[in-house]
Amino acid sequence: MSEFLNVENLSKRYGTGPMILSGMNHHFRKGTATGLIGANGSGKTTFLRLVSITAYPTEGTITFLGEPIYDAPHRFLHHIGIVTDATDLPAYLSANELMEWTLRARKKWHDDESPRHMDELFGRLHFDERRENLIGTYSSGMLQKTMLACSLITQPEIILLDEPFRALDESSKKASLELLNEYKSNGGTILVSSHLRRSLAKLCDDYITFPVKEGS
Amino acid sequence: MVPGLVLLSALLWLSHDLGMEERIVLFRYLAMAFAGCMAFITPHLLFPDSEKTLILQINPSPRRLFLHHLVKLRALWLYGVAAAAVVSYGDSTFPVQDFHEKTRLFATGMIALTAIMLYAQYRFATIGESSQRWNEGKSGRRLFESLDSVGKSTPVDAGMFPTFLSTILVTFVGMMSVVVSAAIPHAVLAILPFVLFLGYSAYRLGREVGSYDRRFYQSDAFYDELFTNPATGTRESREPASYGAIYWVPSRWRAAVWTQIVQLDRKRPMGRIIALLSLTYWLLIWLGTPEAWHGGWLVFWILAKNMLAWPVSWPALSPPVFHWWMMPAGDWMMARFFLQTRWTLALLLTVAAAALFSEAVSWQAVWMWTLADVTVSALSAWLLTRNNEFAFRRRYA
Repeated sequence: MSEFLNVENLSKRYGTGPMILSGMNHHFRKGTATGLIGANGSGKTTFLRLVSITAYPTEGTITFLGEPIYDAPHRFLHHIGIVTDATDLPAYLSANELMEWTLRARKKWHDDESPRHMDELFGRLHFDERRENLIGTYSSGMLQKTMLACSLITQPEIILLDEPFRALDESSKKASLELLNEYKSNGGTILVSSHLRRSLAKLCDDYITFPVKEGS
Repeated sequence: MVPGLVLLSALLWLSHDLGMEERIVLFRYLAMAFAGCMAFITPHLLFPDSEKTLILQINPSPRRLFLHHLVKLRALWLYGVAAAAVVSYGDSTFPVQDFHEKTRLFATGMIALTAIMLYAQYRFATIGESSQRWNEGKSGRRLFESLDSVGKSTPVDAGMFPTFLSTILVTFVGMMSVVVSAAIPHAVLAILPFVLFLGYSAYRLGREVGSYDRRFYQSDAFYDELFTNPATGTRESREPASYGAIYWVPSRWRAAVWTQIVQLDRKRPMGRIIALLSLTYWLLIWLGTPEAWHGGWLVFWILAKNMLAWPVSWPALSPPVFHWWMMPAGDWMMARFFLQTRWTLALLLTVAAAALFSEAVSWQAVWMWTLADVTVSALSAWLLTRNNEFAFRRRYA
């Protein structure tokens, strides 16, 4: 079995409620995009929470390069970018400042190159000069662009996206898909949950349909 | 900030003309109240982290996550230290008399409060793994089977057991360190229990720093599920309160109080907890314990009652946008005040019954404790609303 990102016999329930995921197995290949599809409440977001270590499994585990991700979250999260419909970003920072902070915190800031990369990335996402405004004033679409830009600029090995196109207008959606396809062709791995099947079709090589049958 | 300053002013008023012995007794009350406070408030301060998205984005090291938690508890610790300074040096009659004793008391206070804070952080930061096991029925199965076999059910969600245990432990260990210190006749040696407690807490917490990320994410994930996912709430073994049962609240706030009570009762079995707190108080009176014990327990009673109602300010129970649409923030503060005073009559009756049957409690104390509860309820209502509706208004309105 390859050692990139493996889901091994993964089960999750909340409290003593019904199983949301039961005995899930999957191997995610490097440089691919996998669409997570299924009805509301079928377990897509729970699965993304498990991969992003914001929930812990009831049974089974997920390994990254052979190591269980729950044993050393900090090490695993170094390789991860996450895009959610976040509402808890710092309201008194601008998108530029948040991105600079992200790069500095992850020790990927370069005085000469990073500002240029940031401008380029925001430009490609059609995020105009309002990125200098405070995040607290952003629309949900602007928040999503901020999250996507912050994730992409750190050049992670895996990006987790939960409904990344929901709040975007058509041109921003197209720009995001272009960036994500480019990221994938450079060896990045994408796990994306969305109800927008046409957008997914332009990005994904593989799909997982939720709820996942036991052992599949 | 304001409630802290009010409390400090009250302490200054209480202590400004006290002798050294009385200062030491007041400090003991303060340390016990701090232990009770930390036991209840720590999980709410730490989890679920309101900056989770940002934390995932910048991915701090285990050591940074540890410091992040420490900073979250720091404000409360600083208030405690300020209170210890007021109790030690707040002397308007003879400010420089007994200066060495006062300094020793202040140093003892700093050590005691730091030990309690670090112990609370250790207990609650490392609670995720065992809590999830209880929550999913992997631990405690025999206990629940035994209870089921005798036709009893537990009043709380299974996942809360480790939290309750830690709450009791932090309170008990914190209070016991005060009691043991008080039993040591030599003034210098009386500091020893706190030094040992501090050493133990620092050692246990220090061992976790290297893998604090594992502890942080698992505990945060557990509390996130517990606090925001209704599927892990208390099993509904009783009917929710009816609207008519809230007749004593003025009609302007009645609907708001009712929705808060219904939601809170689904998270916390408040009636049973209040009954347990009162029964324990009567037991302490019946056993003839010193005033410090049953008085300390009433401090705990009031803090527990008020802090257990804090979930009503979580966005999951009080979505700020929806609340903003329903009525002004000031009205939400009033609603929270009535919610908090729901059990004031129970406190009054509890202490009154003790005063009726025991000479250990005076009738003056009945009114004093009732007034204390109403005051804490008002402070608590203001704090809860400040963190939710007022914060929302400041930001967006």
